[in-house]
Amino acid sequence: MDHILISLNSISKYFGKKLILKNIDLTITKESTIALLGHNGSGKSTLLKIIAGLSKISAGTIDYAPQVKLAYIPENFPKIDLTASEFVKYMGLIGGLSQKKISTRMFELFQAFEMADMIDVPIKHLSKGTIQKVAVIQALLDPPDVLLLDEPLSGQDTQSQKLFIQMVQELQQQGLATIMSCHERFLVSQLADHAYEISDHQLLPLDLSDLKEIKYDILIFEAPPGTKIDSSLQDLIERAEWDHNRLKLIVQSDHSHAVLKKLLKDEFRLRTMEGMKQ
Amino acid sequence: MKNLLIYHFKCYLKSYKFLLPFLVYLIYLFAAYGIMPFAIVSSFSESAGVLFFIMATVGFSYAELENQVTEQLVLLRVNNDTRYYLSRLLVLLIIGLVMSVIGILYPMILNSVNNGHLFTRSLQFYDIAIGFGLHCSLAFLGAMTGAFFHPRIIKNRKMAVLLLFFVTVMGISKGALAGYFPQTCLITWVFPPVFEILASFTKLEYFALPAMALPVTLTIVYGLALMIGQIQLLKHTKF
Repeated sequence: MDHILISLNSISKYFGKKLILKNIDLTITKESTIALLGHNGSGKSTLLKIIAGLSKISAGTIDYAPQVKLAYIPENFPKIDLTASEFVKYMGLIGGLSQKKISTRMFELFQAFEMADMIDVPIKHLSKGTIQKVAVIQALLDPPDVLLLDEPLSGQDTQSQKLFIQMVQELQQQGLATIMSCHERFLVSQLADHAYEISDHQLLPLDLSDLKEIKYDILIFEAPPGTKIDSSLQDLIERAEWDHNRLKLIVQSDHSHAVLKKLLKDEFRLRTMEGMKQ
Repeated sequence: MKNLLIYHFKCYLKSYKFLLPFLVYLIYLFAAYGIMPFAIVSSFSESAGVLFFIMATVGFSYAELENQVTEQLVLLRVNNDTRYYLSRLLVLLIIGLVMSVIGILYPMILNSVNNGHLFTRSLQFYDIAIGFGLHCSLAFLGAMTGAFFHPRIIKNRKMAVLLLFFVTVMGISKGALAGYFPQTCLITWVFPPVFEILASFTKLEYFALPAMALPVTLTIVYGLALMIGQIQLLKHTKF
């Protein structure tokens, strides 16, 4: 099987005495796109770090194809003092790229992600979404064999999300394998051909056709000042994005009614509600 | 390696964390060489001792500066953990070298400005060479000691600060302690050999290479042990 890039064989992971992952088997081949789902703290990020060789395993083995090149997009990129262009440039240089190739590719990516006018601003002064774009750009600077994405679209605007999905799909056609951890099930059908849920420390395969059949609604509310979403709704909401007092929610259509009812009761004002196009 | 070193330097310089220790050392030099004349050996020894503490602070703050996420991204690019951690420590050694140059250059300039009357005797090339070596050794020792208290090695930061303070103070005061309680020598050898190296010059008018050979070797071995130990621990613990 010369297409196998990485193979995880019965790996387990403990943090101290706490079991995180148990007997995980996973094979990553060329062009495969794998989505990892699961609640917060289920071990999605840990599994990605294990695949990247950044986290120690407590049991099992990992086999890598020779010279396999990995890139990683972390969930929260830090607010560092370097500017976006400096950071991306040094990542390229450290990775062995030529100055010329870095400059060309950097220019293309910064243009594509609409942040060409922000490249000389220290990363610590950029917004969360823009910082996340820097994380994406550094990973795409030199196309890897395996791209590991930890909640890749969190905090990005819709335009950047679309662009990112398009770029990843293009790279997949070139043979790139992607493994992403993801809260939002609606993204899985767009980006993945295999999906797993981490539940009870184990990796359970999910039927993608079930996920594709799920319908979602987008609800936009105007929230009263200082209001928060009631914690009872957290499990029903796929994604919540705040923009000052404007709240955008992505909710499974089955749950829309319950979410709407509760938020209206909490004095949120509904501005728009529509079905989401996949 | 060159790009890694430039990257680490850039990150460190942009953080401005170097300013405070650098200024403290400059202030020390201004104050220490304020009233003439001085004995060359004792003033160089004292300056090197202070540099040990300064570099321990620099090493600690430098280790704290490292962000886990950027560290992970760079590690994936480098694909060689040892090279990555070594490059970080090399940056510290270069900073120590620059501080050592300042520690020697300042009294040299001041001596020249004062027509050679800064010291109790004339400053020889031999004094400068050994004085510089002494500063470099203790800067290396201090940097490795401070950097060893890395956030991934000692996760409790309050504990790390207290331990670093204790270890550095014990490094210089273990000789006095042994004077009162000789049996403490059985334990205090684990602390950095600052006392041993400084004691080898006590009451000397001239630097004597044979007398300092063993303490300097001990310092380098101790520093290297900390360096290798840190790299191995960081590689082993991962994230």
